[in-house]
Amino acid sequence: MTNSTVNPEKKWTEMIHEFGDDHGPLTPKLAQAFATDPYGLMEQVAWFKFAGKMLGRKDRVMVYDHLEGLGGWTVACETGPAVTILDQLDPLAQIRKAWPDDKIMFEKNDEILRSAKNEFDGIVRFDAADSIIEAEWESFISNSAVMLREGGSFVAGTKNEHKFISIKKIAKQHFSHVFEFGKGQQHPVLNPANINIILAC
Amino acid sequence: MAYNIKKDPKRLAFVLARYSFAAQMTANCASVLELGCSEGIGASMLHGGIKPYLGLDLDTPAIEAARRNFASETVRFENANFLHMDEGRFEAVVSLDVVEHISKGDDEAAFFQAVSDNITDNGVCVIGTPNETSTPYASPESMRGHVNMFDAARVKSTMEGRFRNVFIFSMNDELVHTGYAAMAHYLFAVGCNKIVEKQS
Repeated sequence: MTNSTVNPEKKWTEMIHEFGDDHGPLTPKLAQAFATDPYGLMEQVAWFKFAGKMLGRKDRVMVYDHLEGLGGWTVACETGPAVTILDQLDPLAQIRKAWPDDKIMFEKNDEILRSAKNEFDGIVRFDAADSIIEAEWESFISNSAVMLREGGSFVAGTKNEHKFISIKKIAKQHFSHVFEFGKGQQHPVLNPANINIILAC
Repeated sequence: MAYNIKKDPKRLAFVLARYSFAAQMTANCASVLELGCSEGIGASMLHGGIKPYLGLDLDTPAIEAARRNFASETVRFENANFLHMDEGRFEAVVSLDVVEHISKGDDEAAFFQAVSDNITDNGVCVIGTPNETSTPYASPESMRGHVNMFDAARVKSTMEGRFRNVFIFSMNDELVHTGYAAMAHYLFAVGCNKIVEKQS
Protein backbone atom coordinates (compact mmCIF):
# COMPACT_ATOMS: atom_id res chain seq x y z
CA MET A 1 0.00 0.00 0.00
CA THR A 2 1.34 3.46 -0.85
CA ASN A 3 0.54 6.69 0.95
CA SER A 4 -1.77 7.73 -1.86
CA THR A 5 -4.11 4.87 -1.02
CA VAL A 6 -4.48 5.87 2.64
CA ASN A 7 -7.63 7.81 3.34
CA PRO A 8 -6.27 10.85 5.23
CA GLU A 9 -9.65 11.71 6.68
CA LYS A 10 -9.98 8.26 8.20
CA LYS A 11 -6.42 8.35 9.47
CA TRP A 12 -6.90 11.77 11.07
CA THR A 13 -10.12 10.60 12.70
CA GLU A 14 -8.29 7.64 14.18
CA MET A 15 -5.44 9.85 15.41
CA ILE A 16 -7.80 12.39 16.94
CA HIS A 17 -9.59 9.57 18.73
CA GLU A 18 -6.29 8.12 19.89
CA PHE A 19 -4.99 11.50 21.15
CA GLY A 20 -8.26 12.24 22.92
CA ASP A 21 -8.56 15.68 21.33
CA ASP A 22 -12.16 16.67 22.05
CA HIS A 23 -11.89 20.33 20.96
CA GLY A 24 -13.72 21.13 24.18
CA PRO A 25 -14.47 24.73 25.16
CA LEU A 26 -11.73 26.76 26.80
CA THR A 27 -12.22 27.89 30.36
CA PRO A 28 -12.97 31.64 30.67
CA LYS A 29 -9.57 33.07 31.60
CA LEU A 30 -7.73 30.92 29.09
CA ALA A 31 -10.16 31.88 26.33
CA GLN A 32 -9.59 35.52 27.23
CA ALA A 33 -5.81 35.08 27.31
CA PHE A 34 -5.68 33.36 23.91
CA ALA A 35 -7.78 36.16 22.45
CA THR A 36 -6.33 39.24 24.05
CA ASP A 37 -2.98 38.47 25.67
CA PRO A 38 -1.31 35.57 23.85
CA TYR A 39 2.16 36.96 24.60
CA GLY A 40 1.39 37.11 28.30
CA LEU A 41 0.07 33.57 28.16
CA MET A 42 3.24 32.41 26.42
CA GLU A 43 5.38 34.02 29.12
CA GLN A 44 3.36 32.61 31.97
CA VAL A 45 3.36 29.07 30.64
CA ALA A 46 7.16 29.45 30.38
CA TRP A 47 7.28 30.32 34.10
CA PHE A 48 5.47 27.10 34.99
CA LYS A 49 7.63 25.12 32.59
CA PHE A 50 10.73 26.53 34.28
CA ALA A 51 9.36 25.54 37.68
CA GLY A 52 8.54 22.02 36.50
CA LYS A 53 11.97 21.56 34.99
CA MET A 54 13.65 22.75 38.16
CA LEU A 55 11.69 20.39 40.36
CA GLY A 56 12.12 17.35 38.10
CA ARG A 57 10.37 14.04 38.84
CA LYS A 58 8.84 14.15 42.31
CA ASP A 59 6.31 12.23 44.36
CA ARG A 60 4.04 15.18 45.11
CA VAL A 61 4.15 18.90 44.43
CA MET A 62 1.82 21.81 45.03
CA VAL A 63 1.19 24.48 42.42
CA TYR A 64 -0.73 27.73 42.74
CA ASP A 65 -2.28 28.16 39.35
CA HIS A 66 -3.77 31.36 37.98
CA LEU A 67 -4.17 29.78 34.52
CA GLU A 68 -7.21 27.60 35.24
CA GLY A 69 -5.30 24.34 35.34
CA LEU A 70 -2.83 24.99 32.55
CA GLY A 71 -0.10 26.08 34.98
CA GLY A 72 -0.56 23.08 37.26
CA TRP A 73 -0.72 20.73 34.31
CA THR A 74 2.47 22.22 32.82
CA VAL A 75 4.27 21.52 36.09
CA ALA A 76 2.69 18.08 36.59
CA CYS A 77 3.84 16.93 33.17
CA GLU A 78 7.43 17.45 34.37
CA THR A 79 7.13 16.47 38.00
CA GLY A 80 4.37 13.88 38.31
CA PRO A 81 1.55 14.19 40.86
CA ALA A 82 0.54 17.78 41.57
CA VAL A 83 -2.02 19.33 43.87
CA THR A 84 -3.11 22.46 42.08
CA ILE A 85 -4.63 25.40 43.94
CA LEU A 86 -6.94 27.42 41.73
CA ASP A 87 -8.16 30.97 42.13
CA GLN A 88 -11.34 31.29 44.20
CA LEU A 89 -13.55 32.31 41.28
CA ASP A 90 -12.27 29.66 38.88
CA PRO A 91 -14.87 27.15 37.57
CA LEU A 92 -13.66 24.06 39.41
CA ALA A 93 -15.89 21.48 37.70
CA GLN A 94 -15.06 22.79 34.26
CA ILE A 95 -11.34 22.79 35.01
CA ARG A 96 -11.43 19.25 36.41
CA LYS A 97 -13.16 18.17 33.23
CA ALA A 98 -10.59 19.94 31.08
CA TRP A 99 -7.61 18.22 32.74
CA PRO A 100 -8.81 14.72 33.52
CA ASP A 101 -5.68 12.94 34.70
CA ASP A 102 -4.75 11.06 37.84
CA LYS A 103 -1.58 13.04 38.33
CA ILE A 104 -3.34 16.37 38.81
CA MET A 105 -5.77 17.22 41.57
CA PHE A 106 -7.51 20.58 41.84
CA GLU A 107 -8.41 22.47 45.01
CA LYS A 108 -9.65 25.96 45.66
CA ASN A 109 -8.65 26.15 49.24
CA ASP A 110 -5.15 25.71 50.59
CA GLU A 111 -5.84 26.32 54.29
CA ILE A 112 -5.78 22.67 55.33
CA LEU A 113 -2.74 21.98 53.19
CA ARG A 114 -0.88 24.89 54.72
CA SER A 115 -1.01 23.21 58.10
CA ALA A 116 0.59 20.03 56.74
CA LYS A 117 4.20 19.21 57.50
CA ASN A 118 6.68 17.45 55.20
CA GLU A 119 3.95 16.89 52.66
CA PHE A 120 5.39 18.12 49.36
CA ASP A 121 8.59 17.80 47.33
CA GLY A 122 8.03 21.10 45.58
CA ILE A 123 5.88 24.21 45.87
CA VAL A 124 5.31 26.67 43.02
CA ARG A 125 3.64 30.07 43.06
CA PHE A 126 3.76 32.98 40.62
CA ASP A 127 2.01 36.26 41.28
CA ALA A 128 1.14 37.34 37.75
CA ALA A 129 -1.44 39.90 38.87
CA ASP A 130 0.80 41.38 41.55
CA SER A 131 -2.00 40.82 44.03
CA ILE A 132 -0.13 39.13 46.87
CA ILE A 133 0.88 41.56 49.57
CA GLU A 134 4.22 41.24 51.33
CA ALA A 135 2.69 39.98 54.58
CA GLU A 136 1.00 37.18 52.67
CA TRP A 137 4.28 36.24 51.01
CA GLU A 138 5.85 36.16 54.44
CA SER A 139 3.35 33.67 55.85
CA PHE A 140 3.23 31.70 52.61
CA ILE A 141 7.00 31.23 52.43
CA SER A 142 7.18 30.38 56.09
CA ASN A 143 4.39 27.77 55.70
CA SER A 144 5.96 26.41 52.56
CA ALA A 145 9.25 25.73 54.32
CA VAL A 146 7.31 23.57 56.79
CA MET A 147 5.18 21.87 54.13
CA LEU A 148 8.23 20.82 52.12
CA ARG A 149 9.92 17.50 52.73
CA GLU A 150 13.67 17.31 53.19
CA GLY A 151 15.28 17.98 49.83
CA GLY A 152 12.18 19.79 48.58
CA SER A 153 12.35 22.96 46.49
CA PHE A 154 10.36 26.17 46.41
CA VAL A 155 9.83 28.23 43.27
CA ALA A 156 8.16 31.64 43.39
CA GLY A 157 8.04 34.66 41.15
CA THR A 158 6.71 38.16 40.78
CA LYS A 159 7.15 40.98 38.31
CA ASN A 160 7.16 43.48 41.15
CA GLU A 161 10.81 44.20 41.82
CA HIS A 162 10.16 45.84 45.17
CA LYS A 163 8.26 42.81 46.45
CA PHE A 164 10.90 40.52 44.98
CA ILE A 165 13.51 42.03 47.26
CA SER A 166 11.40 41.19 50.25
CA ILE A 167 10.52 37.70 48.94
CA LYS A 168 14.23 36.97 48.63
CA LYS A 169 14.87 38.25 52.11
CA ILE A 170 12.08 36.14 53.59
CA ALA A 171 13.17 33.04 51.66
CA LYS A 172 16.72 33.38 52.95
CA GLN A 173 15.34 33.10 56.49
CA HIS A 174 13.74 29.74 55.72
CA PHE A 175 15.95 28.06 53.12
CA SER A 176 19.68 27.33 52.91
CA HIS A 177 19.93 28.34 49.26
CA VAL A 178 18.09 30.99 47.30
CA PHE A 179 18.93 31.22 43.59
CA GLU A 180 17.68 34.08 41.46
CA PHE A 181 16.53 34.00 37.88
CA GLY A 182 14.88 36.37 35.48
CA LYS A 183 15.01 40.14 35.29
CA GLY A 184 18.30 41.68 36.29
CA GLN A 185 20.16 38.39 36.38
CA GLN A 186 23.86 38.34 35.65
CA HIS A 187 23.64 35.85 32.86
CA PRO A 188 22.74 37.56 29.58
CA VAL A 189 20.38 35.00 28.13
CA LEU A 190 18.45 32.81 30.50
CA ASN A 191 14.77 32.18 29.98
CA PRO A 192 12.37 33.17 31.52
CA ALA A 193 13.68 36.70 31.58
CA ASN A 194 10.53 38.77 32.14
CA ILE A 195 9.93 37.97 35.79
CA ASN A 196 11.90 37.73 39.00
CA ILE A 197 12.03 34.13 40.20
CA ILE A 198 13.55 32.53 43.23
CA LEU A 199 14.45 28.86 43.45
CA ALA A 200 14.97 27.99 47.11
CA CYS A 201 15.91 24.77 48.83
CA MET B 1 46.06 32.39 24.43
CA ALA B 2 44.33 28.99 24.40
CA TYR B 3 44.29 27.04 21.16
CA ASN B 4 40.51 26.91 21.18
CA ILE B 5 40.13 30.66 21.33
CA LYS B 6 42.54 31.21 18.48
CA LYS B 7 40.99 28.52 16.35
CA ASP B 8 37.35 29.33 17.08
CA PRO B 9 36.97 32.76 18.70
CA LYS B 10 33.18 32.58 18.96
CA ARG B 11 33.81 29.84 21.47
CA LEU B 12 34.97 32.55 23.86
CA ALA B 13 31.38 33.81 23.97
CA PHE B 14 30.15 30.33 24.92
CA VAL B 15 32.86 29.85 27.50
CA LEU B 16 32.34 33.22 29.18
CA ALA B 17 28.58 32.62 29.15
CA ARG B 18 29.20 29.35 30.99
CA TYR B 19 31.19 31.23 33.60
CA SER B 20 28.53 33.90 33.77
CA PHE B 21 25.93 31.29 34.63
CA ALA B 22 28.19 29.62 37.19
CA ALA B 23 28.83 33.04 38.74
CA GLN B 24 25.09 33.67 38.98
CA MET B 25 24.52 30.32 40.68
CA THR B 26 27.33 30.92 43.19
CA ALA B 27 26.56 34.60 43.79
CA ASN B 28 25.80 33.98 47.48
CA CYS B 29 28.94 31.93 48.13
CA ALA B 30 31.82 33.62 49.91
CA SER B 31 34.72 31.58 48.45
CA VAL B 32 35.32 29.73 45.19
CA LEU B 33 37.33 26.69 44.18
CA GLU B 34 37.61 26.03 40.47
CA LEU B 35 38.65 22.55 39.39
CA GLY B 36 40.21 22.78 35.96
CA CYS B 37 40.69 26.53 35.62
CA SER B 38 43.09 26.40 32.65
CA GLU B 39 44.28 29.97 31.90
CA GLY B 40 41.89 31.44 34.44
CA ILE B 41 39.77 33.38 31.99
CA GLY B 42 36.61 32.81 34.02
CA ALA B 43 38.10 33.50 37.41
CA SER B 44 37.12 37.15 37.62
CA MET B 45 33.47 36.36 36.98
CA LEU B 46 33.53 33.74 39.71
CA HIS B 47 35.28 35.80 42.40
CA GLY B 48 33.87 39.15 41.32
CA GLY B 49 36.90 40.91 42.78
CA ILE B 50 35.68 40.24 46.29
CA LYS B 51 35.84 36.52 47.02
CA PRO B 52 38.85 34.33 47.76
CA TYR B 53 39.40 32.11 44.73
CA LEU B 54 41.61 29.09 44.09
CA GLY B 55 41.97 27.69 40.58
CA LEU B 56 43.59 24.31 40.02
CA ASP B 57 44.75 22.69 36.82
CA LEU B 58 47.19 20.03 35.66
CA ASP B 59 48.28 22.15 32.70
CA THR B 60 51.48 23.86 33.86
CA PRO B 61 51.81 26.47 31.07
CA ALA B 62 48.12 27.40 31.47
CA ILE B 63 48.55 27.92 35.20
CA GLU B 64 51.66 30.03 34.60
CA ALA B 65 49.64 32.19 32.20
CA ALA B 66 46.80 32.47 34.72
CA ARG B 67 49.24 33.62 37.41
CA ARG B 68 50.83 36.19 35.11
CA ASN B 69 47.49 37.62 34.08
CA PHE B 70 45.10 37.27 36.97
CA ALA B 71 46.72 36.31 40.29
CA SER B 72 46.39 38.56 43.32
CA GLU B 73 46.55 38.21 47.06
CA THR B 74 43.18 36.48 47.17
CA VAL B 75 43.17 34.94 43.70
CA ARG B 76 45.47 31.92 43.46
CA PHE B 77 46.22 29.47 40.70
CA GLU B 78 47.93 26.17 41.49
CA ASN B 79 49.34 23.48 39.26
CA ALA B 80 47.83 20.42 40.91
CA ASN B 81 45.99 17.19 40.37
CA PHE B 82 42.71 17.72 42.17
CA LEU B 83 41.73 14.05 42.31
CA HIS B 84 42.13 12.96 45.95
CA MET B 85 42.92 16.54 47.00
CA ASP B 86 41.78 18.18 50.18
CA GLU B 87 42.32 21.94 49.98
CA GLY B 88 39.89 22.79 52.71
CA ARG B 89 36.34 23.94 52.37
CA PHE B 90 34.97 26.38 49.81
CA GLU B 91 31.43 27.66 49.60
CA ALA B 92 31.43 27.18 45.84
CA VAL B 93 33.07 24.50 43.74
CA VAL B 94 32.91 25.12 40.01
CA SER B 95 34.18 22.80 37.31
CA LEU B 96 33.44 23.51 33.67
CA ASP B 97 34.53 21.35 30.75
CA VAL B 98 36.52 19.02 32.96
CA VAL B 99 34.60 15.91 33.95
CA GLU B 100 34.29 14.72 30.36
CA HIS B 101 38.10 14.43 30.30
CA ILE B 102 38.21 12.20 33.38
CA SER B 103 37.97 8.47 32.87
CA LYS B 104 34.91 6.56 34.01
CA GLY B 105 35.28 4.41 37.09
CA ASP B 106 37.76 5.23 39.83
CA ASP B 107 38.90 8.59 38.43
CA GLU B 108 35.34 9.81 37.95
CA ALA B 109 34.51 8.73 41.49
CA ALA B 110 37.63 10.51 42.76
CA PHE B 111 36.59 13.69 40.94
CA PHE B 112 33.17 13.79 42.57
CA GLN B 113 34.72 12.85 45.90
CA ALA B 114 37.11 15.82 45.52
CA VAL B 115 34.11 18.06 44.86
CA SER B 116 32.43 16.75 47.97
CA ASP B 117 35.55 16.88 50.16
CA ASN B 118 36.30 20.49 49.27
CA ILE B 119 32.87 22.07 49.54
CA THR B 120 31.20 23.27 52.72
CA ASP B 121 28.06 21.44 53.87
CA ASN B 122 26.11 24.47 52.74
CA GLY B 123 28.05 25.03 49.53
CA VAL B 124 26.95 25.21 45.91
CA CYS B 125 28.55 23.10 43.20
CA VAL B 126 28.32 23.86 39.49
CA ILE B 127 29.44 21.19 37.03
CA GLY B 128 29.31 22.01 33.32
CA THR B 129 29.97 19.50 30.58
CA PRO B 130 29.12 18.96 26.91
CA ASN B 131 26.08 16.79 26.42
CA GLU B 132 26.73 13.24 25.27
CA THR B 133 24.09 13.80 22.61
CA SER B 134 26.28 16.52 21.05
CA THR B 135 29.08 14.04 20.32
CA PRO B 136 28.23 13.59 16.60
CA TYR B 137 28.88 17.33 16.13
CA ALA B 138 32.11 17.51 18.13
CA SER B 139 35.40 18.44 16.50
CA PRO B 140 38.01 15.67 16.12
CA GLU B 141 40.12 17.42 18.79
CA SER B 142 37.25 17.41 21.25
CA MET B 143 36.39 13.81 20.55
CA ARG B 144 39.94 12.71 21.30
CA GLY B 145 39.85 14.28 24.74
CA HIS B 146 36.25 13.53 25.69
CA VAL B 147 36.55 10.14 27.29
CA ASN B 148 33.59 10.34 29.63
CA MET B 149 30.49 11.99 28.23
CA PHE B 150 27.40 12.57 30.34
CA ASP B 151 23.80 13.03 29.37
CA ALA B 152 21.36 14.93 31.57
CA ALA B 153 20.10 11.85 33.39
CA ARG B 154 23.58 10.61 34.28
CA VAL B 155 24.98 13.94 35.41
CA LYS B 156 21.88 14.43 37.55
CA SER B 157 21.97 10.98 39.12
CA THR B 158 25.74 11.21 39.71
CA MET B 159 25.38 14.58 41.42
CA GLU B 160 22.42 13.29 43.43
CA GLY B 161 24.85 10.86 45.00
CA ARG B 162 26.53 13.90 46.59
CA PHE B 163 23.85 16.60 46.87
CA ARG B 164 20.25 16.54 48.05
CA ASN B 165 19.15 19.12 45.50
CA VAL B 166 20.38 18.97 41.92
CA PHE B 167 19.06 21.27 39.20
CA ILE B 168 19.80 20.61 35.54
CA PHE B 169 20.08 23.39 32.96
CA SER B 170 20.64 23.14 29.24
CA MET B 171 22.78 25.45 27.14
CA ASN B 172 23.09 26.12 23.44
CA ASP B 173 25.66 28.76 22.54
CA GLU B 174 25.24 31.53 25.14
CA LEU B 175 21.61 30.66 25.87
CA VAL B 176 20.87 28.81 29.09
CA HIS B 177 17.44 27.23 29.13
CA THR B 178 15.35 24.40 30.48
CA GLY B 179 14.38 22.93 27.13
CA TYR B 180 14.56 19.34 25.99
CA ALA B 181 17.89 18.23 27.44
CA ALA B 182 18.71 15.73 24.71
CA MET B 183 18.98 18.62 22.25
CA ALA B 184 21.19 20.74 24.46
CA HIS B 185 24.79 21.10 23.43
CA TYR B 186 25.93 21.68 26.98
CA LEU B 187 24.62 20.75 30.43
CA PHE B 188 24.94 22.27 33.86
CA ALA B 189 24.25 20.45 37.09
CA VAL B 190 23.88 22.75 40.08
CA GLY B 191 24.08 20.88 43.38
CA CYS B 192 23.47 22.12 46.88
CA ASN B 193 22.70 20.78 50.35
CA LYS B 194 25.59 18.33 50.37
CA ILE B 195 24.91 14.81 51.60
CA VAL B 196 27.17 14.60 54.59
CA GLU B 197 28.67 11.17 55.10
CA LYS B 198 28.05 9.90 58.59
CA GLN B 199 31.16 9.13 60.62
CA SER B 200 31.25 5.49 61.70
